[in-house]
Amino acid sequence: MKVKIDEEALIKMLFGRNTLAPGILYDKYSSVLYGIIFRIVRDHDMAEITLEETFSKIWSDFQQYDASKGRLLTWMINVSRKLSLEKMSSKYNYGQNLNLSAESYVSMLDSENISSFNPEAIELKVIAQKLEPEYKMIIDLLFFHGLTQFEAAEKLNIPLGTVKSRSHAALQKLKEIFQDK
Amino acid sequence: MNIKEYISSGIVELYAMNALSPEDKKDFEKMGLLYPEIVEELRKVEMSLESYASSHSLNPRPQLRENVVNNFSRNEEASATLLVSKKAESVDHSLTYKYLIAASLAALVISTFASWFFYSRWNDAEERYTALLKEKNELSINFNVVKTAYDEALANLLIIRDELSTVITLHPIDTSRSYQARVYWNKFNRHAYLDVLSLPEPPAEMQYQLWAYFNGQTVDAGSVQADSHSIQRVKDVENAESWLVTLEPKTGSVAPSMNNLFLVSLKE
Repeated sequence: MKVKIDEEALIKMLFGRNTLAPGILYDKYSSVLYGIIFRIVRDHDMAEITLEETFSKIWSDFQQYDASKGRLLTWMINVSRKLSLEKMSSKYNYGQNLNLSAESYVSMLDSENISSFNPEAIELKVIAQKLEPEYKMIIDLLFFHGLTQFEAAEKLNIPLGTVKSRSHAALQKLKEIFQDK
Repeated sequence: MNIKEYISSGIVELYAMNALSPEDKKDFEKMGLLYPEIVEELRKVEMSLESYASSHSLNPRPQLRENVVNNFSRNEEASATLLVSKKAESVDHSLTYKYLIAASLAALVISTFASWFFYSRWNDAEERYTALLKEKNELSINFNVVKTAYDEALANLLIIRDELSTVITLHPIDTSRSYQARVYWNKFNRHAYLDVLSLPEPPAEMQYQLWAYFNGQTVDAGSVQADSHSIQRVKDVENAESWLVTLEPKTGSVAPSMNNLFLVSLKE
């Protein structure tokens, strides 16, 4: 049974260590976080371990969460990204080995289609497809793959200034396409 | 400073994606305290990113929920124990007693953690071990399949490449058909092999039989399979001028039924 609850109330419950909070937190955010983790680690066993670690860390570090600095989900996404990227960098130099040829990028996206999608995400997915590939790539590099702007510039072989302006343009576009949702 | 320009520089997006250096991050947070527009823009950017992230949602296996939620409550029990230990300290004035309680509670916490930790490690190892075992079995089955195929291919190759062997091609009597077979015969050790390249399926109760013809006599060289994908060993043959394949009853014949002659080698 899923409980609908808004972010602000959930934050209060988490600060108060309410016993219902973990279940609600899990139901509300596990598939978003799992989607991100899987995108980075590309292995279901490893993704499951990382998801467990992510929730442990969210729970144990929650006192450090500062709502004035960022939204809850964004903060949790960053926790899951950090743990996933640590997993990958312990295996090999992740950023360096990201294969960014057009074919591999397309096949990477295709491989996601075989995974079990959350039906609620399908609508969002259709909307997200409106994003131009060059915008999508810059967001994916910075957001999912945790590259710094310098690394992204190097990877895409474009000037640093372009990384900044393109990520701004990409987010403006994202804002626009998700607005009417 | 022009705030609109600052916002459109792309810094808000980079902050939201955690792609800024620690110094730039601090500067940005200071700016946010001064200019609420920046924070407002940040919230919008975060929400779009969250929607984007949600568009990649995947459901984890349902069993995982229990693990995660149980981990939470275990952590809570552990910190509750710590709180109890603090209370105990304030009530009890005996120093030794105080230390004893603290030590035993600490030990309890540590052992709870340790047992949870080792239990999950053990579970993990157990699962991995089972998975590896399964994989190993599959691999060894695959290996055996490949090994058998390899051994067979190698054996065939050795027969074909035997420099003491003579290769004799058997042609169809009915020249409108493309039936064919090859005999590999080593005169020195008398070993003979037949490679059926094409022969129709024999009727029920019937089989093909190979014969060696020498000096006016035909000698039985054994029955042969029509659908074998491999070279088959037949009876040893001492002398042969030519070779025949006939269709015979499954019980075998002592002399070839010449009206059922299928293949014959041509005189060289």
